[in-house]
Amino acid sequence: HQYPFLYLTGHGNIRLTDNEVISLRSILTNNGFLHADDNYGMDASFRRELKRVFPNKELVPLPNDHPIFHSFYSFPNGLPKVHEHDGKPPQALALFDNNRMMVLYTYESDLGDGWEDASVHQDPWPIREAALQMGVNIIYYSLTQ
Amino acid sequence: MISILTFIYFSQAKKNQIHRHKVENIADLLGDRVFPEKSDLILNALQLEGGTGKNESTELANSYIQDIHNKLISVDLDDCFNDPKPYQLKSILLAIWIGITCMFFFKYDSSADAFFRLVNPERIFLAPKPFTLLSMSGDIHIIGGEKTDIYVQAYPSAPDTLLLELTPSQVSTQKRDSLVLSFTSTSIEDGVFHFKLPELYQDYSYQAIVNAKHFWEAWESVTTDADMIYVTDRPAFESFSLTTIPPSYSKLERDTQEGNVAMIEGLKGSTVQVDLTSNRMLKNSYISLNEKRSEMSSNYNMASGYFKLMEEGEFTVNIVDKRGITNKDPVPYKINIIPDHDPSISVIQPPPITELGNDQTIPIYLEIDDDYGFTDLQLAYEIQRPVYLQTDPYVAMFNMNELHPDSLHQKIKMYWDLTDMMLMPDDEVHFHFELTDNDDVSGPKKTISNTFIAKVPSLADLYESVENSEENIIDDIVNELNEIEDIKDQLEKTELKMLKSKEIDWDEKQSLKNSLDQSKKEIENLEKIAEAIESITEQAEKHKLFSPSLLEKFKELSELVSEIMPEEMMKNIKDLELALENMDIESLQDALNELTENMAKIEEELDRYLEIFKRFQAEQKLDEIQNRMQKLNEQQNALNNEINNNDNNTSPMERFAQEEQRNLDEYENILSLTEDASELIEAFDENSAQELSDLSQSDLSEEIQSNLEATIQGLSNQNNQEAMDQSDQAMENMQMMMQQMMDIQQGFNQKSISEMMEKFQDLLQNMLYLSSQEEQLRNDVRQASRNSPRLREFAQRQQLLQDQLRSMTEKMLELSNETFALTPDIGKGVGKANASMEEAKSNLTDRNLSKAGKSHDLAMEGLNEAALGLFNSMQSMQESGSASGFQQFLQMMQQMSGQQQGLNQQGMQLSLGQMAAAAQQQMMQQMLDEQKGIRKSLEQLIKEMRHSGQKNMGDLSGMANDMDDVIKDLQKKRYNRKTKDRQQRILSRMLDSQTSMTQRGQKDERKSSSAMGNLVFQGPGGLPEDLGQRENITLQALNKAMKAGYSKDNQIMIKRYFNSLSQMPSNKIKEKNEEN
Repeated sequence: HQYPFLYLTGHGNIRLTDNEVISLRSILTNNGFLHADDNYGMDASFRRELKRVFPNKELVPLPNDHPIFHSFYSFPNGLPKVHEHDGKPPQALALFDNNRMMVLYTYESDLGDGWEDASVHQDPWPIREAALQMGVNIIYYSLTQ
Repeated sequence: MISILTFIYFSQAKKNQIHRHKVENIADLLGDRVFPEKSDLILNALQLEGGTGKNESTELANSYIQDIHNKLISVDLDDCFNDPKPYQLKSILLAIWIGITCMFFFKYDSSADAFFRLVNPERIFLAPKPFTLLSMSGDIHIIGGEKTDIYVQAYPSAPDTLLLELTPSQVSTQKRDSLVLSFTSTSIEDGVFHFKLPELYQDYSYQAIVNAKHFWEAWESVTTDADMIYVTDRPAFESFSLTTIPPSYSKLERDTQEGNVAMIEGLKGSTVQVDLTSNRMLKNSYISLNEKRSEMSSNYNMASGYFKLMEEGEFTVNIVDKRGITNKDPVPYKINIIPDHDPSISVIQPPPITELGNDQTIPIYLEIDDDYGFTDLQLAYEIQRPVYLQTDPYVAMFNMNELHPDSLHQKIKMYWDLTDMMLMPDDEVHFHFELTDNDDVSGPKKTISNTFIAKVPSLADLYESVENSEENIIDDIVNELNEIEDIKDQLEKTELKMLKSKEIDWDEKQSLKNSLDQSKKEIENLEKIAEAIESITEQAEKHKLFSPSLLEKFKELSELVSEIMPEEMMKNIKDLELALENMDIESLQDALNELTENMAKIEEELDRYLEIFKRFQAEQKLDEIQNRMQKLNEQQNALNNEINNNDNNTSPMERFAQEEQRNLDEYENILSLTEDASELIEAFDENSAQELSDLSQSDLSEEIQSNLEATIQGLSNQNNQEAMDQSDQAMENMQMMMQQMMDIQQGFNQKSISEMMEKFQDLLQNMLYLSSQEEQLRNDVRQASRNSPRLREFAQRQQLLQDQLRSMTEKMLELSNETFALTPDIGKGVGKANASMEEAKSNLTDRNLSKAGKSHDLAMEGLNEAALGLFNSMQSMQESGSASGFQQFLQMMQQMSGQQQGLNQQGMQLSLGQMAAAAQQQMMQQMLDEQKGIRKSLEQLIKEMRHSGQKNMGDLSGMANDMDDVIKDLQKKRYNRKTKDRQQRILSRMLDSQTSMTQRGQKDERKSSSAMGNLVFQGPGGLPEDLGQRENITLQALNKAMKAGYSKDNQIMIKRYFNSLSQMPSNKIKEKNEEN
């Protein structure tokens, strides 16, 4: 497969066709990596679709000492919080194939909003910086794990 | 030399210029061996190390390189590159070489001979041949195109097969003519070989050949001597052409084709001309057409001739040269006649049966086609009077001048005006269209359309049909209400059950499914009701049955019914279905709850519409009376004129009497209708009902009746003067009665405005009262001193006034749902007053009297502004005669969107590009003028709306900008896709703006804000041991079951079962296993 890193974001309903389910499974089981970032309201549909891709795997919450939070920059409190919608804490969950992380699902964090230009959401620099650093960690970890 | 090459090789390798020794290649190879799953890890690290890009993070790169370095330290590189394969290959090669050397020494003699020949490659070693070949046919002479035979003798022995090669004796530029032809044959007897040659057209030399079969044979080949075949030429075409000249009516161009296409196509009646030149001087030539010979004129080596295409078949062209030799096998040309089809006519409008409206015109829209053009298009009609009149039908026909004879595909649009036919109620016009094409070879062909009927309905019939439709609608709405009530009950029951138990059984699921299906059906029914109302409106508009204001109300009602469905209703039903399918109890409860609420809403709305609809029916009855009275008045007027102009001539008096009798009957019908109307409107306006009833029983009413009876009596007695006097009197009285009816109708219509005015008046009075109270308070405060003990009491009075203002504001909010006449100016005044009152209170509490005074002034100002706004709104309500201010806006916008739609259609026509340049220019100019007109109307509308303080008008300024762009395009005589898109956008914005006026309020958008930093996830202590991998016991069990030897059908069933198991959450599977 040509692309080792996939990024998925949005809000609302997501639905994969049967062919897309097969393709995604093939990419992920062949050393591909998917980072799904819930931009708000995508949670239920993403979990449902992921179940179709890997019916026998469960998303597991990542502990704060997981290497992905320390691969380059250090995040002792785990995933940073970028945007607030429902007042919930940010969560990082992952799907593993043996010991290799295939899917990272960031929920209630909204990293993607932190990566946009300052003028888009008027987020202060420390928040955007944390989002960008976490982004570096995710890519670094996915390429070196 | 080898040393130099070795040196160069190593120095290039050192410079990293030999691919297999390049560092990147080695890194890639190493990555492949050490990390087979991610082979580019080492290469990535190497590239990062070499990269010096300004935008890269050195720190990040170093960290990555260090990571890879650490991983490589533990790897033994010798293991990676220890490959034994090359050594094995070298050993095998050495063994082969030793084997070849040994073989050479063991067969020395033959090897030496072979070696001698090998080292003398230029020396020729002749070998004896096994047999000799002899041609028995020798030289041969034939005519071009003939076949011939060749015999060859082989002796003393014969080979298995013999090859015969024919080589053209002359060099030709044509590859085909330069080909060497080869034939093979086996011996027929005693070494004789027979070759049958095909038709030949040029001279050849020929030779029979036998080639040695194996390369080690001592001889190469055995051949005969070369002999000749001499071919004498036949005459042939040097050039050949066929020209088809179509008949003149088709206006097709003549078509010339070369002779290599063996088929000719043409319209019946076309002339086919044949022209040719030959390679020989011609004696004569002829065309053989369907075995009939037709001579051609021949001159030197040229010939020409022609024939007419009248039937299908074949023809050949034959030439004879001076020697009498003919061309060989002339090509048969197939004749294909292209048919001239009958013209086609499709009638888009009118429908098979049309009811003629008040304007007595029939819109006609035809699409006609023919392959070569038309002669004429005619409309033939027959007027059929009612049977009781016993008159012969009138038959006539006229040419429709809209036809362009030469345009093959046309859309004919026209309005057929039937006013001159003086049609009466119950008359029928039967008509059809006749289209003739221009075929003058086989005679013009005619296509006749179906017959259409236009009927003239009577006014009473029309009203009756509308009433019947309305009764049906009321029945439908009542049924709908009952159905919805049932569904709602059913849904509520299910909802309650689900609250009690978190499970849903099969029966409940089925019943819920049924309710959902029923809901969908009801939604469809609602749409049908809206359509039925729309069809009534159309009919009423066509026959001018309703007054414009009532018509407008019906249109609005139809829209309201079609919008009765809450927007999210369909989604709601889908959610419910999905939740039901997935057995998601929580979502099911939510969706059920929502659906029940929506059903309740619809029920409420339907109740309201039923009420409104009944009111409209009452108004409609008044309209009917008014209309029929008007018609009667006109008929009476016409009859009155005839009686007045009659000079005591007795012959038409009988007819006059009959007509007057009809008028009297109609008058009595109207009186009975008036009684009905009175009963109908009683529920809405008792006064108007009473007035109507009084009018129908009034002296005036009785007088009209007696006037009409007396007129009939006078006419029957042939007393013209008496009839004239009574008829005049009847006319006068009828006009008085009409006036009174009109007053009653207006009074009834004014009632809703009056009610609204009353509400406004109440508000105005309250507002003015509040203002005066505020003034009183201000005066009291001015007279009080800073330390006055009454200040507390003043503050309380201010609070009281503010409470009163708040209660008024609530009333205004309620009223704003019914009218747009509550403008933002009024709201602004109320807001100002409220804020100032709040300030005054706090100033009084602070004992700051001068500031409190100013606040009182401002509050009074606000109240007075609001009162002025209310007064202005009341005035404009009275002037417009409409209780809701937005009607004018909607009407104007509807009118404009109609115009814009027409303009867009013109644009579509233009973009088809089928118009002549001059017509295009003219149309563009017309479009430009129209677009400017619409732009001006829009400007006016924006101004008026701003003036009246209306908001939510949609994107009016965006629309204006788009219009400016379209105008610019059209001024530049340009109409392209962008112009078309802009026009489409204008139209859609116009329609949107109507929607935005009717839909107040905004949707809640998704909102989010930057994180505050206090939300931290207290993650788990570590990862679970299985890393989320669920034990796939289902798969294991499935495999086991598949191997158990069940039949194929059972296997499919088992697979389905396991498939459904794998979709279940893991805890459910565990439960299931425990059960088992």
